[in-house]
Amino acid sequence: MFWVHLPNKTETQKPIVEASHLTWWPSLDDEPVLPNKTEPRPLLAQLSFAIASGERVLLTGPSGSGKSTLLRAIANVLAQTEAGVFSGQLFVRARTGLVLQDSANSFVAATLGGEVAFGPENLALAEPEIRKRVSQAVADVALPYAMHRSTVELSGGESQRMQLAAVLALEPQLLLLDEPLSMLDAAAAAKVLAAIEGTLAAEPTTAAIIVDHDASAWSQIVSRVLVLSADGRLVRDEPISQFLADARLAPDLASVPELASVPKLTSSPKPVAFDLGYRAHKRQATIKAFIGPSGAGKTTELQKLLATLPVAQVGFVPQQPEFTVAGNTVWRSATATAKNLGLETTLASALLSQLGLTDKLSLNPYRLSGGELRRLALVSALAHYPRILILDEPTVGQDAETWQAVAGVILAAREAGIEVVLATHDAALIALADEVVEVSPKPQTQTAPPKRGRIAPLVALGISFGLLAGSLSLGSVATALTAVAIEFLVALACWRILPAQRIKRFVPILIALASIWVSNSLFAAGGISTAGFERATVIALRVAFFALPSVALAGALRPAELAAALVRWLHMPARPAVAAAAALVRLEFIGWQWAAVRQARRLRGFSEGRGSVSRSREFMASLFALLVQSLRGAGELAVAMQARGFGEPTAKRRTWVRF
Amino acid sequence: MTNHQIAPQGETNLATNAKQSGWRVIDFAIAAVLAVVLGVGMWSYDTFAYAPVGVLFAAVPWLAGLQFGVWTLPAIAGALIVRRPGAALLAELIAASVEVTLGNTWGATSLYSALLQGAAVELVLLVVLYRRFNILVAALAGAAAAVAEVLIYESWAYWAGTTTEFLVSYLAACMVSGAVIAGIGGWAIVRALRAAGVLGAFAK
Repeated sequence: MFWVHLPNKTETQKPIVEASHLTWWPSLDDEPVLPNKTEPRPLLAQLSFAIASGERVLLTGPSGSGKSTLLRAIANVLAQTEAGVFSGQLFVRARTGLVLQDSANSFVAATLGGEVAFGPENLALAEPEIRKRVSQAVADVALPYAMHRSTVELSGGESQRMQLAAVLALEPQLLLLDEPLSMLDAAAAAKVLAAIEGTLAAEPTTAAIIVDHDASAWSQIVSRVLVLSADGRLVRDEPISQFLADARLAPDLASVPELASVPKLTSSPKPVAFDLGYRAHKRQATIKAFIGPSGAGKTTELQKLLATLPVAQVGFVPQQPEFTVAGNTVWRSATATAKNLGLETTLASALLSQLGLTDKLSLNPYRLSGGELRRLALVSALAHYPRILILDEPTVGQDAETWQAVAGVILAAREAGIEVVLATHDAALIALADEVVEVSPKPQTQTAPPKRGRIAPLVALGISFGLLAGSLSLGSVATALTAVAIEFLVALACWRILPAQRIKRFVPILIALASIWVSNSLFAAGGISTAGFERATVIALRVAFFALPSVALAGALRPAELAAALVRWLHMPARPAVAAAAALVRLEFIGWQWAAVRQARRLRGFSEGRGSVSRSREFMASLFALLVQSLRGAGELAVAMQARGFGEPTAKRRTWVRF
Repeated sequence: MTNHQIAPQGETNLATNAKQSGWRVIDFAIAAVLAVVLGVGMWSYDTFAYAPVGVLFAAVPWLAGLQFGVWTLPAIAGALIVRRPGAALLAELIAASVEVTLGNTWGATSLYSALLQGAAVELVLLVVLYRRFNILVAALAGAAAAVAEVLIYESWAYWAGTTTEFLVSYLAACMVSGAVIAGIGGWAIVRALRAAGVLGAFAK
């Protein structure tokens, strides 16, 4: 259920969120059994609190304390997308709108308009109402683009604002924002923050729960702070003024475990280097930081460097740490590179403990929070004694305590003579660097819109299937040849309306035709004979008759449009078609993902070998890793879709608006 | 794990462990994304392996049927993960449309093949009432997809002139491949995905 109970006159005084003893145990069934297996413990433990209509709350706590999980529970998407067991009670008396931390997994449509309309479409609102809401929401977040703007061309900050607009179009009474700024550079973050501030100022009755490690950014917006402890309990619930005052008065309270969660309020974090126990170089190493706005090419600079280095000498943490996961436990993933290179695992143990992951060793890495996964990737990058460490945004998603641990490891690496090269927009991290290189954005090249044929997908499909059936009527070589010749002339006449096809596309079908002719001739019923050859020729021409146009028309079968047409004209069920369209948008990224998977595996020491057997084995392993990454993304996609009403009964008869 | 309070009248406790019976959002999302990735896998097989393997089997052309299972993998894997009627058909159709869009040998007619193969897998699962998803059912479903593809489509479209012996040998090769590559292979992939921890929201 998407909203549970709409407030009416008598109930307006009731809190819109009411939790009592709310507890959530994630299911640990799929964890491998290890000797040091930790006892299952709840991720959310006995939470009791209430939030009033129009109230704005900051939800904070250490990395991994269950902040995102609580937000998902309130959005009513947790139990449907993750395995686990609830106890206690949770009542939500408002329409909720959830914005996820990483907008890369959230988008469901190929165009800006389609993305923002997705929620209202699922509510089966009328088309004029949807169009009104969409243009209003896009204006609210100040996106200066036309509705048919491609979603995959938006920058990180723009796509975060698009997700905010997609949620605002649902006209939520409770906004749920999961670290909405953490993936963004200062300029983009300022724009997203302004969009959130503007929205909340315009809608005083809209409540909000904002998850963030940094309270100061939200001090003008929120009135109250909830703090979760590392073991998932609610340890503080107080006005923001008191929270900030406490932090200012006693910055050294950071040593008290529960207050350690108070993020980045202590004047300046002081990371401490420790002894890594080995030296990579005798000479003094340095930390070099690439800085600049998102999209300027910081990652490209790191990639250039990576391409030149041998595997054993380099450790790499990519911007998406999940790509480095190798193995189904934290311990196996942390030590994979060292083991592949035949090295000992003592450094891995030390780093895991330094970065606070010791009690998660037997967990599946995919169960870690975003901040924990990034720390695991840092351990994985260092545990094989590299000489150079390359880090892309290593401090994203860290609280004050884990920030100090991450920065401490970076300093320790420098002390050990390891060259550190990083890309970051974190000012505190930049302050630690010995050398700062500013990367300035290059003028963006606008990608040309794809060339489109003018044949509707259902027409193309109809022609293909019609020719397939019609091929049976071709009885002799003469009629079959004539039919194919007519098709050829029609194709020449229609060339302009066919989607641009390269001749290359026809090579496989021509080879297949030859092979069909040979098989039908050599294995002709009645033995090899003139009649057999003639029969084989008819069959090959029949295949040519239906298959050549099918190949020519393939370009007209753009899957997303085909799915829309099937629902629109043939009344196929809407939800499978929409899910298909959402998955197909991801096709745009699959080449990039493939490259990232291959690189991550190479850098983790999974070598390809020389023989064709070992090469194809590594190919299969990479394909499987790609599948794992994609399905993990699909889990987040499901959360984003569910949070926008795709699980509602109305979604079965949803509206479909074209943009 | 009992509730400590009585729920206010007319309200639903969101912290419930009730199972949803129909298709969940995550079922759609996982089936569709799985199909897109496997569709790309099928396309790379078409592009890089299909022709060399064809040359390998040039002397005994019906052996080319041993490749059949590659194209039924999405139906089996989709069905074994989602375990709901329609999952095999949905995954197979999406994978085929990815293959067609990227450009394959047969163009739009691949969607016809996909329809037959997906439907055959659904039929086998219907026989076990969508209750058994073990390696045997998977292998049977893969073989059934081969029967549908060869008898309902290829026998008249491609092999109408050949001897019965050729057709039977070809069908047998396709069935073996459907059972081994799609059936057992699909079962193994799903098991490995479960071990990797990305199928937490699905039944075992």
